[in-house]
Formats: sequence, structure tokens, C-alpha cells
Amino acid sequence: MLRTMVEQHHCKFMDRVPNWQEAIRQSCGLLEADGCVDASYAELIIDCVRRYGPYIIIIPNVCLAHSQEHAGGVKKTGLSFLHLAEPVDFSLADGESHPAQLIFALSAVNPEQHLQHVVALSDLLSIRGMPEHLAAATCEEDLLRLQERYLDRPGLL
Amino acid sequence: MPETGVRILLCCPKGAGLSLMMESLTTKAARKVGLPVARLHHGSIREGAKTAGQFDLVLCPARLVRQLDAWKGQVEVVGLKNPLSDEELEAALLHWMQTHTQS
Repeated sequence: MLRTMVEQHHCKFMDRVPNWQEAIRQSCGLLEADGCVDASYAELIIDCVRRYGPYIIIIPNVCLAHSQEHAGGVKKTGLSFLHLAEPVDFSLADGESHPAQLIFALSAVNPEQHLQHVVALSDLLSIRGMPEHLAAATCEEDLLRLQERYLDRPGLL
Repeated sequence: MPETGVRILLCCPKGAGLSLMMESLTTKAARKVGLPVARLHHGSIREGAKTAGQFDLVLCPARLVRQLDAWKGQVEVVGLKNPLSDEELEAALLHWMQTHTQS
């Protein structure tokens, strides 16, 4: 999964973004660059967050920006990863703080691919220590090292 | 799915990404600890607040637990600090087995 995102140029490392909306735009921008989604997809997700709250913060420090499968603006299935050195806060009107450094964005053209990618991501994030390893990554080579160590050779876990 | 076994509901804020992930991980955790599961469903916490009575065990992020207060005493609700932690999921399922299985 990590290697695929690197090979598809779906990864980006930034120091910070000014607000959570920009975090969503930047992570979706990685999917826009190769035509997985158009610019409306980021705005759709931002709108959902305003309506439903920060449901896309799935575990502390990790955001999965996504909408329904075959939502408007989706052209191809894709998964991107934006790493922020400084967490961005997804706080809304409820006043609660929801900081996140690891921003994944997923677009899926059908329910099967949505499920496949969501399950693969949950398998990745459930590896003990993986969220911390991802937070400590500073470049694509770090992601490839994590792929080799934890995903290519699961028998060694 | 077998007719006997525990009925588990996974809830998250919207009922889309996170609870779907929890369902996938719970399936694996149940297999690992040997807990028979009769039914596994994921949905939003809002839906869960209405339908929790159809289940034996509800798993959700800890901060959502209070939204299921109405079901106290009728359904076991477990809040998870890290809803994608296989350790926490297995512990919740093992606790269920220990408190609901006759030895």
C-alpha cells in the first residue's frame, strides 16, 4: 500500500497548513493531479465535515478524507497520504480539538474498491506502532522502509 | 454466519469509514480469540442509538459512549481509546467471552 502510493506520486510531506480545509484540499490535490478526482471532491468532503463534524478523524492524529463510493467528482480509485510536521486542528463549532498530522484521502469508483481500500488501510493502521512510525516519517524513503519492514514480510512481525 | 453467537454492532460518527474498518478488524479479532459471532453490523452512532437493542455488544470510540447511555443495563457498550487497535478489540471480545460464557 505505501509503495503503491509512492509510485503513484500520491504522497506529500509538508511542514504545516493554515487550516483543516487546506489539509483536505492538499491531500485531495494529490488525487486530482493524476485525474482520480476533480476539484469538487475536496469541497464535497469539506462540506460533509461541516455538517457531520470531524468524522474523518478515525483515530487520534489520523484523518481519512473520503466521501461515499462513486460520489460526485470521482473518476478513478486512488489513495493519497499527506504528512504534516505540525498537526492541523479539525476543530469545529463543538470547540473540541481534533489534531491530525497524517491525512489520507480516498476516492473509490465502486463499493467493492471502497471496501478493499478501507480494509487495507485499517490493516495498515492496526499494526502495532504504525501510526507512530508514519508520524515519524519525513520522506518517501521512510515510507518504503516501513513497507519493506512491516508489509512485505508480515511473517516477521 | 452461525445462528448462535454474539451480535456485535460497530459504531462511528458517520457510519462510513471508521466503523467499516472496525468491522473488518473485529471479524479477525473474533476469529483469533475463538468467539462465535452471529451478527456483525456497522453504522453511525445515531443509528446505533436507535438499534442497539438488536445487539449484545456495541463497540465504538470512547468519546461516543455517552450517546448510548439509554441502553445501559440492556446492551454492553465498550468505548475504545483506539478503535483500530487489535489489542483493544481482542480485550473487549475476551471480556465478553469471560462474562457471558458459562464454563
